[in-house]
Amino acid sequence: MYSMNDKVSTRQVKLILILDMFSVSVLILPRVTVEVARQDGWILVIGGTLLAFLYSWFIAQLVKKFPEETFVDFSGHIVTRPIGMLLSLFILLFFILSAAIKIRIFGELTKQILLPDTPIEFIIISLLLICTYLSRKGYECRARVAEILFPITLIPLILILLFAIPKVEIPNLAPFFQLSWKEFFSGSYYVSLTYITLILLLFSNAFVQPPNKSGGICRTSLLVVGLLKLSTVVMTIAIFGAKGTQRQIWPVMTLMQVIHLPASFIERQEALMMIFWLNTVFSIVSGYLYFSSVIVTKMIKSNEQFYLVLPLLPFIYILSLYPSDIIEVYNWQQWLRRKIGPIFLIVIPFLLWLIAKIRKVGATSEEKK
Amino acid sequence: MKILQQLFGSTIKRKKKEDHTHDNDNKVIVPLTASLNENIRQIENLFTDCEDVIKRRFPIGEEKKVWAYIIYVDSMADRQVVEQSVLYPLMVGVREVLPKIEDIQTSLLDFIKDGGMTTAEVKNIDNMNDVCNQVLSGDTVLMIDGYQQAIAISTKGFPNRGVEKPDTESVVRGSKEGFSESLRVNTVLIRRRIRDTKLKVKQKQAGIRSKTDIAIMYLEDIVRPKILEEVNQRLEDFKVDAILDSGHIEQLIQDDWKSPFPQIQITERPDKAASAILEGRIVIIVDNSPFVLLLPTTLNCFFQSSEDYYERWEIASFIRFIRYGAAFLATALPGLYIALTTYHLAMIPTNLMLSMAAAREGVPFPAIIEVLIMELAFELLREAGIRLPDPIGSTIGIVGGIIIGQAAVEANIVSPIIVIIVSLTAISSFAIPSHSLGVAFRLSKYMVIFLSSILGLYGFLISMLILIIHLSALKSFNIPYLAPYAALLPLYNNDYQDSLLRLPFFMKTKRPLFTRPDQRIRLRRKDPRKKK
Repeated sequence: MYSMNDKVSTRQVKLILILDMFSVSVLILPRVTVEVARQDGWILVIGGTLLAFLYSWFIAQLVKKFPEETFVDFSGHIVTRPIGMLLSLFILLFFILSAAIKIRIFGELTKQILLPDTPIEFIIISLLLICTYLSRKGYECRARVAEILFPITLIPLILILLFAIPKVEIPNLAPFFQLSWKEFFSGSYYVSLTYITLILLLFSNAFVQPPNKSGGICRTSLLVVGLLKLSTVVMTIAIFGAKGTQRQIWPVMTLMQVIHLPASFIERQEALMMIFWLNTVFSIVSGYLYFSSVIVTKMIKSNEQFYLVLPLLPFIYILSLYPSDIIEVYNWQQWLRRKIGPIFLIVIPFLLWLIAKIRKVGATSEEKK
Repeated sequence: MKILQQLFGSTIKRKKKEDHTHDNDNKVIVPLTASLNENIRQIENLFTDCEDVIKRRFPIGEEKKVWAYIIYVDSMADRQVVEQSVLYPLMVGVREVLPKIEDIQTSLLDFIKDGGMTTAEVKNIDNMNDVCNQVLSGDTVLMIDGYQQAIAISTKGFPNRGVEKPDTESVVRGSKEGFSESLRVNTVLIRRRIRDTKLKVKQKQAGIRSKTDIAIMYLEDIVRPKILEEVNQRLEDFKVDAILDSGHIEQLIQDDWKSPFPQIQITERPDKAASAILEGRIVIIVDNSPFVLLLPTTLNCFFQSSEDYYERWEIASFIRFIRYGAAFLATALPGLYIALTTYHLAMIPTNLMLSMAAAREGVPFPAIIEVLIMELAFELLREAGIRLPDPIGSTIGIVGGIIIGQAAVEANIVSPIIVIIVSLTAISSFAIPSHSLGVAFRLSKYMVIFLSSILGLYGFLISMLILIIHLSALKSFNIPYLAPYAALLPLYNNDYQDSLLRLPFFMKTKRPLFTRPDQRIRLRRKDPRKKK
C-alpha cells in the first residue's frame, strides 16, 4: 500500500540520483577533461566514475548503520550533537550556495540562448518558485516527478547522441593512451568531484523503503550516469577533436547545434536541449531546497517542514545574483567543487564512518539478522 | 447600538424558536406510542399541509373493534400494490380467516405482518423517525391500535424514465444501456453483470433534509479494505442539507479541492461501472443521479473508454495513443504557438515561418491577444450551444463558424493560422473521453498561454513542469494519480499493459493496482501448458 509518510521505493531513488548527478556538469565535462588529457579525456571519465564508486561505498556503509535517519540525526549520534549540528550547518550552507550557482548558470545560459531581452532576475525567480513548489509537496512527490521527467530528459539526449554518430571521426581520438599517470590521477580525481550530488544520499536514505539498499542504489545510478557521461565525452571529442573541444565554452551545447535531426520540424535543437537542461537543473535545485528545509526542520526541531522552504529563498536569490558575470560564477563553482566538495564527498563520510565503527554506534549487519 | 443589539437579539431569539418535533439533525423525535389516536395526532401534526400524503384510518375484523391506520405518499407508492396487497387482505381477507381478530389480539401485529400482507418486503419499525422516513421514501406504513410498533411495507413505485442510451458516453461497439435516476434500477444494471454473492451493495442515506439514498458497491474480496474504510469514513464526515446529484458527493469526499483535475471518475455506463468493480474499485451510486462515481481514480482511468476493451487491441492501442496526444495538444498547442512566434521565430523552419508571416500580415494584435480572442470566442460558442435545444444549437454552430472562421479572418482581426490552432485545440479537448478531464486540461491551457507569452519557450516548459508537479502530488484515496507512469511498485508492473497502449486481452492476466495485493489474477488458462 502507498504510505502517506513520504517513503519512496529504491527504483525511484535511483531515478532521482541519476537525474541529479547528470546535471549541468556534463555540459562542460568534455572541455575540462580535454584540458587535462587531450584526446584521452574520456579515460578520465572512467577513472572518475570508479573513484566515485569508492566514495559511494563509504557513504552507503555509513547510512546503512542508521536506517530511517538523516545526516542531522546520525551525525549527532556519532560525534555528539553540537558537532553534528555544526556539520549540518556547513552542509546547509553548501546546499544553498550550490543551488544559487546552479540557478545562476542556468539563468545566464537561458538568457543567452532563448530570452535575450528578459531580465535574468525574472528567469531565476520563476525557476526558484517552481523548485519551491515541488519541495513543498514532499519527497514522495519529488520521486514521482523524477519518474516522469526521466524519460523526457534522457530521450532527447540519447537521440542527439545517436544522430551524432555519423559525424564521428575516430582519428580524432587517436593516438590512444598518451596521458601520464599523474594526469590520469589528478584528472580522474577532478572528474570524480562532479559526482558531488552523491551526498544527497546522506539525507535521502531516511526516505527509502526498504532502507539498507543504498549500496545497490549507488552502484546502478553511478553506472548509468557514468556510461552516459562517457558516451557524451567520447562523442564530443570524436566529433570536434581535442583542440576543437577545448575552444568551446559549452562543448555539448555546440554538439547539439552541429547535428541535424533528419526531417526535423525544429530548425535548431535548442528546444530539446532546454528540456534536458531545465529538467536536470530543476531536479537538482529542488533537491537542494528540499534537503535544506529538512536540515532546518531537524535543527530547530520543528514539525512544520513545508513552510521552512520559503525563508531560504531570499538567500538563494541574493547569492545567485551576487557574482557580477558568468566568469565569476564559474570561478565560484570551481572553488566550491575543488575545495569544498571533497570535504563533504570524501572526508566527512569517511571520518564519520570510521568514528562510528570505532565507537560502535549504529546498527551493524549482525544485529539486524 | 442598543437598538441594533435589540434588533439582532430579537431575530436570534425568533430563530431559536423551539422545534419540538425535530432535533438538530432534522430527525423526528416524537415518540411512537401504543395509542393509535395519539400516533395519528402526531402524524397529522407532522404532515400538516402535505397534501400529497394519503392517510386512512380503517377497522380490521368482523366486529370492527380494532382500528388500523395507513399512510403513504401518492404516486411515490404504487397505488395498485397498496390496494391489492395491503388494503384488500386487511379489509376483506382477514375477515375470512379462522382465528378471529378478537381472539388473537395480543399477537395481532405479527399475525398481520406474517400473514396479512401479500408483499415480500415487510419490516417492523419502532420509532416515529423511521415511520416518516419510510413514508417519504415511497413505502407504506401501517399502524395498529395498541402496538408501539408499526409495519413498513415496501411499495416503492415512483415514476422513472427507465433505461435509456447514455448521452455522454456513446460507443460504436458495446452495450447501449445507460444508468437512470433510480438507485434500484442502477444497482440492478450492475448486479446483472456481476452475479456474485461477493458483490456487496451497502446502502446509506445522506443529506439531513433530502435523505438521499446512496449505494456503495464493491467486490468484497478484491477491494482494498483500507480504501473502503476511508470511503465510508469520508461519507460519514459531513452533514449536509441535501445531496441532489452524485456531484455533491464527489466534491465532498474528493482529496484535493484546489485541483481542477477530477479525482473521482463519473460514468453513465453500467458496463464501465461493472468493470471498475471487477478491478477492485468502489462504485458509489446516488439516487436521482444517472452519473455513478468510480473511485479511486488515476489519470490513466480517464483515458480508458469501455469500448477499448471490446475492440481488438491494435485499434484500441492506436486510439489510446491518439487520446494522450489530444490531451497534450489541448493543453499545450496555443502556448507553444505563442512562444515560438513571439520569441523564437528562428526555431521554425524558414518556409513555414514565411507562410505564417504572410498569413499574419495586417493583423493588428500580438499573438497572445489573437489567441485569447479566439479561445474566448470558442468558449462562448460552446457555452451558448450547450443549453440550447438541438435545432437552435446547430444554428449557433453555423453562425459561430462563419463569423469566427471566415469573417474574422477576412476582416484581418485574426490570422487563419490562429483559427487552425484554436479549432485543433478545441477538437483535441473533446477527444478526451472524460468531459471533466477535458475541462481540466482546457483550464490549464490558459496557464500555459500566460506563461508562454511572458517567458517564451522557457515559460512553456515551466508551465509543463507545474502541471507535472501538480499531477504528481495528487492522490485519489491514497492511490497516486499518475500511476502507473509514476509511483509504480514493482509488484504492479502489469499496469503498463493498460496505459499508453492496450495490450491483447489474453495478456491482461493481472488486475490493476486498485485491487488487494493477494487477489491479482483475473485470467488464467485452464490448461497452463497450452500457450497462445
